[in-house]
Amino acid sequence: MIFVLIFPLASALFLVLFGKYLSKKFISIISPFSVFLSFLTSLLFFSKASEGIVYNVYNWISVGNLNIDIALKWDPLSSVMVLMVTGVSFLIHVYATGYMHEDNSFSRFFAYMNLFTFFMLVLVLSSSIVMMFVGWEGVGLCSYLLIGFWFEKESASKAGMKAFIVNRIGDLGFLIGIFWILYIVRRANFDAINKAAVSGNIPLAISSLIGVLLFIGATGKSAQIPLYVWLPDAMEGPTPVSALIHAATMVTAGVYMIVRLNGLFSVAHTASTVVAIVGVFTAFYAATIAITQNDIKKVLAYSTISQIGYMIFAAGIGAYTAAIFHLITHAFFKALLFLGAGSVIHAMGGIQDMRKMGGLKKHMPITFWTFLVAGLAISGVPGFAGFFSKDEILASSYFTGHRVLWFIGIITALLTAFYIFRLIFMTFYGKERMDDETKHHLHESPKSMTIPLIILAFFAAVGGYVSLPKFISEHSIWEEYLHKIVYLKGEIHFLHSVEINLTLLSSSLALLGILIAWYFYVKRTELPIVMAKKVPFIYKLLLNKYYVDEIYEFVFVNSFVYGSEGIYDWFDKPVIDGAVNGSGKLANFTGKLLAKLQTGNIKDYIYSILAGVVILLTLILMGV
Amino acid sequence: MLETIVFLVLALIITGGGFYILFSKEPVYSVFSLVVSLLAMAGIFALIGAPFLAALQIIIYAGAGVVMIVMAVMFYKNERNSLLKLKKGWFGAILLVVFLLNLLAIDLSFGKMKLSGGQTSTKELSLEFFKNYIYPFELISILILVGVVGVLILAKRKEEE
Amino acid sequence: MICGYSIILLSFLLFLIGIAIFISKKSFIMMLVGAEFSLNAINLLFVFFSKVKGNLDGQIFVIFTLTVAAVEVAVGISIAVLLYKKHKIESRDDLKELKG
Repeated sequence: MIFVLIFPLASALFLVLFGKYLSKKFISIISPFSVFLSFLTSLLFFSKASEGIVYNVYNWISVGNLNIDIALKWDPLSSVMVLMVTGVSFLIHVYATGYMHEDNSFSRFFAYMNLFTFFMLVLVLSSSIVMMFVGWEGVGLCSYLLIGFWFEKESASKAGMKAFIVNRIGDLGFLIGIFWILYIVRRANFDAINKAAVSGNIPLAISSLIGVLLFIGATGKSAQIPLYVWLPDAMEGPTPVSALIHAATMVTAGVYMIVRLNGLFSVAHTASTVVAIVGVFTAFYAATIAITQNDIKKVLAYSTISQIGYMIFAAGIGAYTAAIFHLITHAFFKALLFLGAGSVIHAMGGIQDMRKMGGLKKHMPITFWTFLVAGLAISGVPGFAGFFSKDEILASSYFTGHRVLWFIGIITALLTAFYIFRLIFMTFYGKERMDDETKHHLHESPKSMTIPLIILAFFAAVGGYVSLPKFISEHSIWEEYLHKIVYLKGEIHFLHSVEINLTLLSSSLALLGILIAWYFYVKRTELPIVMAKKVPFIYKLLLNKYYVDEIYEFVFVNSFVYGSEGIYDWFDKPVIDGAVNGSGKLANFTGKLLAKLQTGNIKDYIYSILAGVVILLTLILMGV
Repeated sequence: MLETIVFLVLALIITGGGFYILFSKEPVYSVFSLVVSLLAMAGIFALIGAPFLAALQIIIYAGAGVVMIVMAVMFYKNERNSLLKLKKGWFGAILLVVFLLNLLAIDLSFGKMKLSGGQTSTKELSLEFFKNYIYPFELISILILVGVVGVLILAKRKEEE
Repeated sequence: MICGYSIILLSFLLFLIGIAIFISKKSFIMMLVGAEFSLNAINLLFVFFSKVKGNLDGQIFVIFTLTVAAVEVAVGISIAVLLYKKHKIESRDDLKELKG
């Protein structure tokens, strides 16, 4: 089982050491292949997962009462996650061999990608919260390395730093939470923590506090309010990176963490409420920004923030299986969306502004059709994967009594459909707005890129059928499989009749969103500009992401920078430099002073001798 | 009574000689004054009751030592001594004062003691010497040897030029 | 009897005179004279205390001092003369190389 981890790690190390000397072809084979091997291994062991085994690897810390082991937890939750991670990672690796073909740092890229896969697997397979944190940090590191991959570009390296620093802030909350857990529960593994929480061994107020602290970590990693600001900037990285890290895997780590600790979160109602509210609100907030963005990747970035908001929302209201379900389907269609966008950018020679695109449907058919499938999935159109998962979340929220939050979720679904199809229509339909030079170069992408698109599209289409809505079938394979991992079993009662109505409502909203998008961007393309002019304030607000980045910079960054400068001027220079320079000056002064003793004049030397004698005499007589 | 007067006279001679050396400009005169002082000191030695030492003093100091000094003085051509300059004498003055103050701390009860023992004969001295101080005696001999050798070398170097 | 205080006083005075000579004279030979003078004074003191205490240690030491003084005169003079012959140094003020 440990081999699941070893393959990508070995590949990463190999590439780090020898990558310079290998041909691109060789790397494009071994790098994805190592991930594929991981995928196969996890498939092989899949049947064992329902038992919930823990494979012990190494006894790491054994101090007093504290025992932390490195162990792999293989249960329904981790098996599903691992299959998704390795599968999607493999497809993206294959895609990247085509996408990054002209890049000079080919080996470095794949080394980082493999390393990332390794750390993500560590995170997912960890049996204890401490080991998870190791994986957490590791993926954060790889994210930094990959975002800033083209570090020669200043905006890229700044984005990488921003990601890492914002993440770090979240990690602080996470760490304090971990320490507190270790202090109270004295064990680090998830089983022990959840059981302790459920059986009431952790005081309620404290478990809520811990939950909030851990959630702060999740907001950093999973890009929720307030620590989401790094994700849009992270689009500076190559598109495969955005697909893998910022759509399918790393950003979902926060959700995964909450679900793993569902015992704790089910008990700590305050924390769960906070989670749910932040989740749904983030979903709405991000969607409002997405409808105005002109960069194709930025739309997708905000879309990711929004969809993860849905997952967090689900986790917050206790629908853990639904959250994971949406996580998996989202992995499929979001990765597909990003890879498709990458395909478009590749064909357009690097242009990412949608206002310069249009009419690509006939030039890039495969990309278009797969993209369309993904768009339908994310909008929640019935039949596609996203419909099933998103609907389950919305239904759960309605039936657990969170009506207001449900309402926000529904509105967000409308916005989601709208912005996605706005993207599709602007890019693939309508007039061709690009210049002639670019138009000449338009071509469909190579097979290495299109085949993963097709595979992902397949899953985006059919992936949802593992969990049918309750009014169709009482038993869902998905829920039954994952049932074991929930510690505090709570039944949500779905009223079939109401559920049907809800489903109809969300589906029609999705179609409405598509229709509005079609109207604005295909039928009467002059409308968006007119609308924007009518509500300039709102438009500007949304376009500029509510100026949050600017606010953050002003409040946090500036105060820090000015504070540091102040300290430098008032403390560093006078005190520290003063002390150092001062001691130098003192030595100099003393030296010059003492040098005056050496006059070369013998008479003075005689005097010195006599003075010494007298002093000695005095001392002796004083009894020293 | 008589002793006291003799002592006083001798003391005056020595002191006067010292002052003369201090203030004189002529080197040769100063050296002669030194001779006189040394002789007077020998007298005091005798008076106190150490005749052997008095004799030693005359032979070594006044005899050999001073002769050498006179010879050396003759070597220099232009020899004018400088007088004690009191311009920057403040440092010396301070030293002096401190020194004097120190002396107050000394237990001067010795001064009250009478001199005892009468004359110390040569026999006593030599017995003491060879009984208890034989090692220093040998060492002193070596020292003299070293001194002689050193002077010889220095003198020789001079000749080779 | 000779008053002890006066001997101590005399010795002390002569010692100071000797130092004064040593400090004030510029020529090496004269400095040597000063040194001799001080040593002489010290000899007096030693003899006196030997007499007072009753044992002969003081006088023995005087013999040593005398000897050493004689050797010192010899060596000192040869150095002084050499300095004059080779480097034309007449007084201690000419020795300035240690000026720092």
